[in-house]
Amino acid sequence: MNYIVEMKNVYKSFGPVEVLKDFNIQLLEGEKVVIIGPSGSGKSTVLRCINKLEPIQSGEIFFEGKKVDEQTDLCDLRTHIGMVFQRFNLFPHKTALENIVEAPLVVKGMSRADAETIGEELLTRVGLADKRDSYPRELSGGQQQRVAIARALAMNPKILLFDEPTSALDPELVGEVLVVMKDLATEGMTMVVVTHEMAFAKDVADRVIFMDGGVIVEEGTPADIFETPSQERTQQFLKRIRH
Amino acid sequence: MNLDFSVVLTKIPILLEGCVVTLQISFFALLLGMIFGIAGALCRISSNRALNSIAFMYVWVIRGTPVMVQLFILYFGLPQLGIKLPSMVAGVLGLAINTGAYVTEIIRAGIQAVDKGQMEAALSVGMSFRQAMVRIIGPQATKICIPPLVNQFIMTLKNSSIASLVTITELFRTGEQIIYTTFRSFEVYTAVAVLYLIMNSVFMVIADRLERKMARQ
Repeated sequence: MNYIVEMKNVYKSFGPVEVLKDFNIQLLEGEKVVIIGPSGSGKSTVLRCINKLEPIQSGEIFFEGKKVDEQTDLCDLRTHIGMVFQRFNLFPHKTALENIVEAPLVVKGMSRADAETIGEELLTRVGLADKRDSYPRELSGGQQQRVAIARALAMNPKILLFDEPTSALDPELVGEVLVVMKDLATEGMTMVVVTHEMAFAKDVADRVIFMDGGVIVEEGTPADIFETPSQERTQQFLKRIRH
Repeated sequence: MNLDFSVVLTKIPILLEGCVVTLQISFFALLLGMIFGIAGALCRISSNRALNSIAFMYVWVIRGTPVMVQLFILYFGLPQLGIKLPSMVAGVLGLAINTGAYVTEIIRAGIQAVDKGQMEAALSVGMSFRQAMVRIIGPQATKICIPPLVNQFIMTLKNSSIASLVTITELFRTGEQIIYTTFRSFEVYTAVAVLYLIMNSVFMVIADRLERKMARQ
């Protein structure tokens, strides 16, 4: 089996705090994986280890079968792995379009005309073609997150990581972001989504992973996890978030 | 009261010459100081321990000692070690070293005030650390740094009066020399103060415009 991302026996700690303990995960191309779990369970850290925003203490990470190590060109690796952040992290001094074309221009060395064509296509795709010249502060949270998704797509990544993409949004703005994410899923994008949106997980996920205390407690189809969770910790967590 | 400002009027050409020297010293001190400060700040945020401690020591020593003493060491102290600096070089260098220490702290704080998520976002799309610093962090840090930098520039311009003590005939020393011959202390010192105020005001207006322009972006 060819995994797009594989983590083997990964151990990660922040000082004395163990965040990931002997963590293993395999992601297939085209797979949509949703990671759920209480805060502090290490969900976000999994994503941040995949694109090497966080170093790991031990274990191995493979991207498309190649081990990520000291020889790996991290910039190149990250162009293949898009990331969407909880707090959007758009560049505030750049317009929506400039946010999107920044990496194609600077990292890929694409011509401005080509980059802007791609940028405009992406803005249309996330429903914000009319906001190309708006600065992030002029956009709602939902619009900012959609621009951020377009920015992550601009490098034509092979996988997209979503780190609680709707957690910082007002409830009425969550829907517009989820719609964009569902479209991406339909188009076959490989996605790993850390979220508390259980309805989205049920709709979109091929596999749901429940994490707690830096380990995978349980994983399976949405039906397995949400309807017949086998582990007590999973049952307790689901009970808590349903109330 | 016995005030006679007409003395000042006749001496205006000489006072303006003093202004020119003050501006020259300040300009070069600021230019060099900015270079020292940017280098210092980059060292301070670098993960290289040696660079980091050098920059830390620099800021610690310079901020912790009076600028006058620093100038005196450069101009009157160094000759004892065989290093004789012309007064203008000692004056500019001393003020630049002093300014650089404060600028180091201003820029370091400015860079660190930019949200950490900005660096992460820049790295996540494949930018190198350097590209992220230049294109994403730098512009945002610059905006944060402008008000404290303006403050520091004003301080440096005023501190340039201390260069008079290492025999540079800038504005303050020009004033003193006029007083030696005219005995009009109040009038001349007042005129000197007004001239400093004018120079700084021009500077403040320019800085204010720049700040507004940056805020609009």
